[in-house]
Amino acid sequence: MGRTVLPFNQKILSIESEWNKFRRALRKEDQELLDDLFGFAKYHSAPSSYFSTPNPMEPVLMAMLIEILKEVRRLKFELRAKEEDLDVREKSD
Amino acid sequence: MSERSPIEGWVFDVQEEARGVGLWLVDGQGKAQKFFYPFRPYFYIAGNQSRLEAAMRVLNQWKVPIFLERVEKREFYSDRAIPCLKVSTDSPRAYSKIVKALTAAREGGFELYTCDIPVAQLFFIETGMFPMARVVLEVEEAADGSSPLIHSFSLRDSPWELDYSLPPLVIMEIEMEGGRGNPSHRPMGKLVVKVDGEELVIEEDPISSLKEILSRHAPHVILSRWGDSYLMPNLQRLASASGESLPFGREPWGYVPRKRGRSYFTYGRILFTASSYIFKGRWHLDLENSFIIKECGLEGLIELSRLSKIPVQRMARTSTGTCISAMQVERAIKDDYLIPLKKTQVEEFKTADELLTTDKGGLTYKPVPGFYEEVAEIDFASMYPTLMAKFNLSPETVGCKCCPDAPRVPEAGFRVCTRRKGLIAKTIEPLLKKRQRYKEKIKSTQDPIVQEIYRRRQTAHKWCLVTTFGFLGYRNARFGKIEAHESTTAWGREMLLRAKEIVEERGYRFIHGLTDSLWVKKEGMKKEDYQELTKIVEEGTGIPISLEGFYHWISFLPSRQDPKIGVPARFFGVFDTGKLKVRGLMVRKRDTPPFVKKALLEILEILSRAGDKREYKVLLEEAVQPVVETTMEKLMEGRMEPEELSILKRLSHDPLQYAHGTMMAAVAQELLARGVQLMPGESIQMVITDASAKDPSSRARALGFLDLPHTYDRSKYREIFMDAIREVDLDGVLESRLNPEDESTENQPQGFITYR
Amino acid sequence: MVIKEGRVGSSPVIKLSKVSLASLLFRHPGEGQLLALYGHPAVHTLAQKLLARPLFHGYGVVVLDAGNHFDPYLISRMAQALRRDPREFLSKILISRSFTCYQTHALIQKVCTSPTGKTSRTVLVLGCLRTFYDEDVSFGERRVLLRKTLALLQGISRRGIKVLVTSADPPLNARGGFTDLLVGASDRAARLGLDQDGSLGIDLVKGIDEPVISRR
Repeated sequence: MGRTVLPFNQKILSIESEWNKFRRALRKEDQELLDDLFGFAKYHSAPSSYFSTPNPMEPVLMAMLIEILKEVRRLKFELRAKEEDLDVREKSD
Repeated sequence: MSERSPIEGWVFDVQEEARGVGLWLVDGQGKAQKFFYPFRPYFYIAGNQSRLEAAMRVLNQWKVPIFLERVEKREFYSDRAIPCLKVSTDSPRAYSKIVKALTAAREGGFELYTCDIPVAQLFFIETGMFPMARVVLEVEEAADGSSPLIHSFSLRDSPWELDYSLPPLVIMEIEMEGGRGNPSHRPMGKLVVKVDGEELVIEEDPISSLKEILSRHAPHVILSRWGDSYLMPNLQRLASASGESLPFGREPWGYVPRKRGRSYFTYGRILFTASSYIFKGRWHLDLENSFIIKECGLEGLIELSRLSKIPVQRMARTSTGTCISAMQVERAIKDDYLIPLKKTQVEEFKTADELLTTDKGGLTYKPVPGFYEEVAEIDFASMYPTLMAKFNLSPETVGCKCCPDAPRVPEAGFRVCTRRKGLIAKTIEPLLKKRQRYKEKIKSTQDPIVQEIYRRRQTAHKWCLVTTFGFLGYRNARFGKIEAHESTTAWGREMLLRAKEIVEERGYRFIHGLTDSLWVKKEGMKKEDYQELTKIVEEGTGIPISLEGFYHWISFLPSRQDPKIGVPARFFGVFDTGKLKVRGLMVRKRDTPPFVKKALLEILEILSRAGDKREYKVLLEEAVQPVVETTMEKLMEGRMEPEELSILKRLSHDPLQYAHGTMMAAVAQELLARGVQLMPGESIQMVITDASAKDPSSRARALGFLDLPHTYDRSKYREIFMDAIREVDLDGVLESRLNPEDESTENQPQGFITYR
Repeated sequence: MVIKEGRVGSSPVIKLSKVSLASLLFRHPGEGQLLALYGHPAVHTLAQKLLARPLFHGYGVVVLDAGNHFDPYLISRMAQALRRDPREFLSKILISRSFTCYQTHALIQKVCTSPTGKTSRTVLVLGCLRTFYDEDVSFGERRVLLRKTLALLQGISRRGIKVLVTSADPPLNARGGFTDLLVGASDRAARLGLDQDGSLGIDLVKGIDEPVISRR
């Protein structure tokens, strides 16, 4: 049965190609970052689809934020671990 | 007219006669006999008095006896009882003509029902018999020597039987020598016949040879390869040249006029259906024209015929969708419903807002690609059919007007009838039950042959159940409604999410989810823990769910475009039982060359012995690498046979419409030039000779006509092979170890095809 | 604004802008008409954009999607461009889909008789001819059904409803001149095609007798 509403995964691809002009003018190192951001959006395509919104950009941005927050937390965690490591070493000196 | 003692046997086939139907019976010794049953096919006309009179005027023009009866039947969607006229005739040929005439005259405003069911099926429904049913017939000899008349019968069988006996059937195989590819895409060869342990190559005069073989062995089944599209048309041409008919039927001129093979544009694509040669008194089954035989064997085919009441020869050539549709029709007729004509049920209006919410499929997640250890896969059993049965999702129940306070479907919000049980539920439930019982019996049976029979039958059931969902929304389905389809996916999403919530609440990580399956993991959990978890999920959702398996390891592959992004259905892994599960890999794709498939199957078999990541890597280096190197050597030294390199592709347009320069265009046009009649929708096999040749027509060649001095493009095939290897590689172990090709390859001579 | 006049074959042709096409359709509130928009596949998108006017003014619209062309995201973007809530526009569109020619016919028949059909002032039939090209059904049967369907559409338009029908060019080997039947049954017809400079242009090929110039 033909689906009428574009499946969300395809919607993300379509949004991604809408941003091609923006991407083109970005510096190369920033283009990779943009690609990664869209990768984050694709990763969360199931919840975005389930959400069923007429504003597809919103769940796309939300997915990007979630993954960035995840990265931040991971870094915090690593940093804390390194600090504790340093602490321990200092104490034992 | 004299009576005979009762005859016991199996209903082999049923065919339309000038009057009534002919019934072929095969007895316990394999003897085939034809009997006559005075069946009167019927249909219904509904309308007010003046409209019925308009219909009567059309009927009065017919010279054959027509019987009329005033009856009351129920309308399917509204469930109202309406008065109508039952019209029957004892001539099946006239029956279809009458229906056609009335259909054309529908300006008169009357409605026709139950008028497009094949006569054989109507016969089976009315009498309760079915294909390969065990029956006892009481017959009378006919005075004029024609087939004996059945004056009564008793049914000693049921389509719901798990274990049933079948008569001894003699099978005759017939095909063209020269391999399994399409014989019309290569030079003509000789006919090969196999029967009763003998194999014969027919050198000359095929028609006489076949006649002799047929009378000597009296086979019941003609099992062909490419019979419908190639063998039979060619044999027919030969036979007509000498004024004869094809000898396969048990009657003179014993075959149903064939339907022409044709390509047709439908629903945005071009499809191709081969012609079909159906014989009287014998089954002709074409292995290349039967999805059902390919998937579930003869046992599965017979099982579906018994369930659907569709004669075996026709069942072989149609889809499981037709099977399910036939079962629905039978159920509806038994429940006194009028069977509606073409599908004209239109979707109820919904707002575009609501459309956004309902027009979704199953939940498909994307896993984070990578190699995982100790993961469990939990699957809902036949999820969509189970939901349809449990929540009563059927075209006439979803969005019913009679139950304003009925429970609603999640997300979509449709109300589902509580007053009556839907046709879909009534049809599916016994099928689900029977399939379940076969699955249990497979576990408890010792005999491997019996197990395999059960397995084939329940595979046939599985396909029917799978297509039930598709048919629910299918545009051509007799009983279908988009809302029912949307309700099913809505419940499916709801159940998957409930399952996810249950497992996550218990500390399990939800790694991946795909419509009706979940992959979960928790450190330190063993198989028994996952089995426990599965039970809890089943209790929480109310839908049967089982542990598909506990993986030692599973590799979720990334997207071909971006290695950082996962894709829903490309993975492979090995269960603790040692069994592999592979989805979406090249080894499963239709267009992957056989040598690649063979090597990958061997490689996967080797890798299935790995218990964890470390062992996997070791096996890659020690056991897989040699296989890759051997295959690569054979490829690069030009020793691959053409069959090993063939790529199967489907022609999606008219061959002349292909964009100039593509390999498809080159091969299609080559075949055309050689006089092969190519139809869009057909598949062709090709070998890539030189992907970068300047002249597009020499980039690829049709497999069937390859000979010296053609060569194959080693680097292109190497690329394909490497793509497949990368799918099973881990951390680039294989790729880094395989010697990189040096640039000078380009200048070395290409591999040569061995001369045939 | 009308751009220029020209001739296609022997019939006069007027080039239109999107704005004047919209005004052609919606200019007289009570006037029913059957307008066919055909040619380049972009007709379906163009037609949906034309819905902006009635939706903006709070009117409901009926969409019969016979070719799987409806795009709620397009409507949503339109709403946002007009500084309105997308859900407001979406909730005013009543949609039903058809996938076979029988369904297309039955759907249009339903609009004729149902209350929904009676209260909406604008009906859009997307991809009207697509289901009639499907060779699952015999050619003769399809043609008969198409004529009946077109007659129903004319009936709807005569009740004061604006009926906009789109159809993209058929597949190459399609028979039957169905597009001609559609244009023949319509009050007005406009063809969307690629101009020499590669841009899309709208040519009014039928119903030109009315003055088309609308000044801003």
